[in-house]
Amino acid sequence: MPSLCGLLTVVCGVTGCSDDNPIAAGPEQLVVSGYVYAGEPVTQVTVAVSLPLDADSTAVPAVNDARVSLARNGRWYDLELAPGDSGLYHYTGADLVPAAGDRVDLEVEYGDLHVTASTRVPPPPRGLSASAHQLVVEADTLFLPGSGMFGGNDEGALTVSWDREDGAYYMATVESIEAGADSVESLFPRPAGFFGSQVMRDSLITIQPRSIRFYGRHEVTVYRATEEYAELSAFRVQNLNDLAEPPSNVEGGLGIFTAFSSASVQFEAVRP
Amino acid sequence: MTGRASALATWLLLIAPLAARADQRDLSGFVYDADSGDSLPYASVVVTGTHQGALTNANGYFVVVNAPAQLCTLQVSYIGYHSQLIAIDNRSARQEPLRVELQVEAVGLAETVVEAEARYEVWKPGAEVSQITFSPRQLGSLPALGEADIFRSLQLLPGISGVGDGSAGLYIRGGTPDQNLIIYDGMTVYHVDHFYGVFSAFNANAVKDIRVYKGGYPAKYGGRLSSVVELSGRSGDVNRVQLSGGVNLLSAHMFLEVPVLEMGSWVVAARRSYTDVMESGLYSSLFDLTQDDDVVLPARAQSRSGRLRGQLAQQTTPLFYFYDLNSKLTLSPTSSDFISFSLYSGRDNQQEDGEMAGLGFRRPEAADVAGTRTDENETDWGNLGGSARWGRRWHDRLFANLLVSSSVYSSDYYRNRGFTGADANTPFQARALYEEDNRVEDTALRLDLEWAAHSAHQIDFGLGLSDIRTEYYGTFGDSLNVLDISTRARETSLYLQDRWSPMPVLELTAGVRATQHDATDSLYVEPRASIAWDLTDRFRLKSAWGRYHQYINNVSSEDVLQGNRDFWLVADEAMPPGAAEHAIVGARYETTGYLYEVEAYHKDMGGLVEFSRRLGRGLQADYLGSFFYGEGIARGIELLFQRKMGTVNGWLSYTLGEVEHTFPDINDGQPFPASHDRRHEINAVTSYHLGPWTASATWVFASGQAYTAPESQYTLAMADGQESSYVHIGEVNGSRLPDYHRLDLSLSRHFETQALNCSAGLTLFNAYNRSNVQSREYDLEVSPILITDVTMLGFTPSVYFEARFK
Repeated sequence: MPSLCGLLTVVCGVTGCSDDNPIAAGPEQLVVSGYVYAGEPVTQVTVAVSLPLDADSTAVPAVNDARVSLARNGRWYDLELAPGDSGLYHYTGADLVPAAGDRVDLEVEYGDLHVTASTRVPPPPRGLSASAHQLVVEADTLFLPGSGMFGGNDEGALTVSWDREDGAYYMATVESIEAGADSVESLFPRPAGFFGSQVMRDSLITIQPRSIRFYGRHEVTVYRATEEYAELSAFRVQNLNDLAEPPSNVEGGLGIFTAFSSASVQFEAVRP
Repeated sequence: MTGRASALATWLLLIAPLAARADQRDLSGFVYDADSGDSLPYASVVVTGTHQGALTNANGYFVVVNAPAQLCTLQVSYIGYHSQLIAIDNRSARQEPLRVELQVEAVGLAETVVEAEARYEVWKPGAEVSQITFSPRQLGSLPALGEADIFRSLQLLPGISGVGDGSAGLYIRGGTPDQNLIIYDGMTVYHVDHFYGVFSAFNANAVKDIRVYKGGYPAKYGGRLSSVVELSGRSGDVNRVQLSGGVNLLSAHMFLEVPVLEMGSWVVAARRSYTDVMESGLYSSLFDLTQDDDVVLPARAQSRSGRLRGQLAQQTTPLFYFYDLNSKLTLSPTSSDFISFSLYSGRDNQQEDGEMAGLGFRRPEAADVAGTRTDENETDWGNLGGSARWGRRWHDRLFANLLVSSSVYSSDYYRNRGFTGADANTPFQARALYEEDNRVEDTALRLDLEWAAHSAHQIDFGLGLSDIRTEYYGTFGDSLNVLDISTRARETSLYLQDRWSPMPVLELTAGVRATQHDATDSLYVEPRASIAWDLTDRFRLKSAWGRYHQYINNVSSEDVLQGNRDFWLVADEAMPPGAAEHAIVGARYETTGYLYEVEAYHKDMGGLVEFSRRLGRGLQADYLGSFFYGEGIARGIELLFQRKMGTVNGWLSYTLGEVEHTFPDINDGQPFPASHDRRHEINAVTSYHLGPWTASATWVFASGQAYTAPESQYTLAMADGQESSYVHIGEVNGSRLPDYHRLDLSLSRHFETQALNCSAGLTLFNAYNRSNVQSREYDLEVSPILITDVTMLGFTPSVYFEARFK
């Protein structure tokens, strides 16, 4: 039975040398959340690393000792770690204020990890205007949770509109800007302000009186968002059925680096 | 060259060979099994001392055109049978074709018969390029899981592989199982395995011959990108009633052969698992193979002293069975007419309900919560098909086969996962329904004609009409989004092929196949050619080239958590047919006892389809946008050494291969390895015969297959300050499972009693208990995320017993 013996010998030799791969953890990757606003200092660049798949905790491992650089139209600036250990980086000087149309680049180095990203600051929304300067808010207005802020067709609503541009994405916030303003008496708590979680292509929002929490001056800010942020916004919740991931414009890593421009109008919430 | 010279050359090459000489006479006949009277397809018939010969066709018929009109000797051989030398007096015309009977054991036959040479044991490389003839008769001598299995045995051949213990599918030269045209008695079979692929769907007792074209297949066949596997069902014993049966640790089978009206026979072969009645150790092992059996965490996690297992407990209640039934009625009302009706039915059903309860469920909205997850899971799939064939020998040189066939494949998958639970304050309730129903109906009419125009020209031509319908309905945990597709296509095909031997040592085959596919309103023309050149009696060079199309796609549906599934859809305007171009070159050196062969192949493929909800989800979720189309390249080289005969025989093969896909919208358009890409494969098979005993060993090695893996998790802060968590998926097929290797040993014995011929065997599957990994699964609903290695079978002994009434 020489053939069988030979085969067994070969098999034992090969299996004796076998090198089984253990389940390998995925490579650690830098995760960047970087937001730049036209006309404002750079204060929102967060750096973290990805977690092992089987980690006990989902707490984000912030990176507080990375080298973070940002370039505006080709000129580089070093960012510093903001107070705390949250992995938030900012620029402390006054000479870095991105403007609409600028190309902004980001570079992060952390150990052997190196990522880059770039974006272009979009132009601000044009033709922003409010339908009225005042919004009458009744104290006993019944706020129905879940009925939304911008929807509805109440006759007393205020609309803010702007020029629509093809392919443009927008978000809007409404904030009380008057210090010490009186609260509207309501049966249910009302939001203090709102940053629209949904990116929209519309060119109009409607502000219902029932969504207002304070009397006094309010500011409506409409942001022009980039396409990369619009895509990220569509993936706020990962569907475990398909595991679709948000697209990333961070080369060599994960996350988002994008810019916004904004325009704003004001109105006053008043008693009847 | 002048016009006159051209005409002369044409006459010499094409017309002159058609003229027969007075000292030549056609020699035709049939080759049968001497014991049962069953015809033997694709047997080799050679006129010794000449280069003239022929292969029998599917009905066992052969004709040697312009054979010497003298006393001559025929050498007839067929795999698994002793070759025979038969003295023939061909000086005068015969009224009836010859009847040649071959025996498994060397016994004298009519006319003057002597044993010519040793037989091939299990398989034999064919005369055509990349073609193999395989006999199920000797499969019992190879180690088997439970019982002899056709497709799992084919996986031991060079260039043919499975992806592991849990797959009887054939991955031939970088092609996927759906790219193989599987024909059983003329009907197309769409799903070819039982028990999630552990066994092939064909009962080895019901099959008498298998012909495999690994590539470069001839114009007679069409509709697949990769290869052809043609199975001929046994016709049965025409002389007496025969009953045989067998049992193993998983299933039982029987085979009944009944002579019919002295002009034919009827066979019934049935096989059914008894796993739903009684669970054997083998069944438990196999069931574990299809489950998430081994939780394997990285070393870092393993040190947590079983935190996960202590808090979540899962119970699964499985119920499984499969069966298949083959029946065939074969009649020969005249010496020139052959009629057969064949029926095939096979089905699998698995119910696998489970419940997991405890603390540690992960919810995106909250901390870990306690709860109960219920899982109703039922899968049912199978084939039903039938065919009717009329074969007629219109003339010694002209044989026709008319075939009508119908085949239905259906697969129904239902999974209902429910979750109820609560953290300290908030109750949770969720339900996810998954349904995937797929159906293929294939009706075909085919006419094949074989015309032996001359000893130098064998012409095959024919036409085919087919009507194929597919339906697919899928929901994926979200009842709002449904993928519901129904497609239908009618195809008309014509083919013509000439096998031309301008010299005795040279054979050129040129053919063309044209198919009109109405769903795309296009005509697909497929030229094909091959050459075989015998440099010496022992050394042959060969090459083949051809173009191929596939009009029905088996779409791979990506699921990185629980493994991919697939479904069939007919090609149409939205999903164009696949296309491939094969180029093969090889050489063979063969002695009486040994065979050395090398073949290299290159296959370009287009129109490949992937379905990925993960990659297809954009700003607007639409499943129709989740289909991706791309190209692929498969290339490799196969080396084979075979000892054909002797007390110890077997083969050793090595395949170096690569399969690379490129999809413009996947992996940033960069090439990535196909999931079945395996760089190195080695098969070693040996058998040792000692009297009634046979000992066998097989050892297989394959590089780890590619898979797409979830790699890490991360959190992103949105512009409004809210945070979203994600699982990051690595590059497409960017990870590799560990290498696969396995040794199987078997011992079998034949013995007789007064009434029975018996055989019994013992197989030690995976003798050194290698822990091969089939896939990795990820449960993202528990915390920490659960990573499971689905391992293949460990050391598994099994036994079988078979008996046949004398």
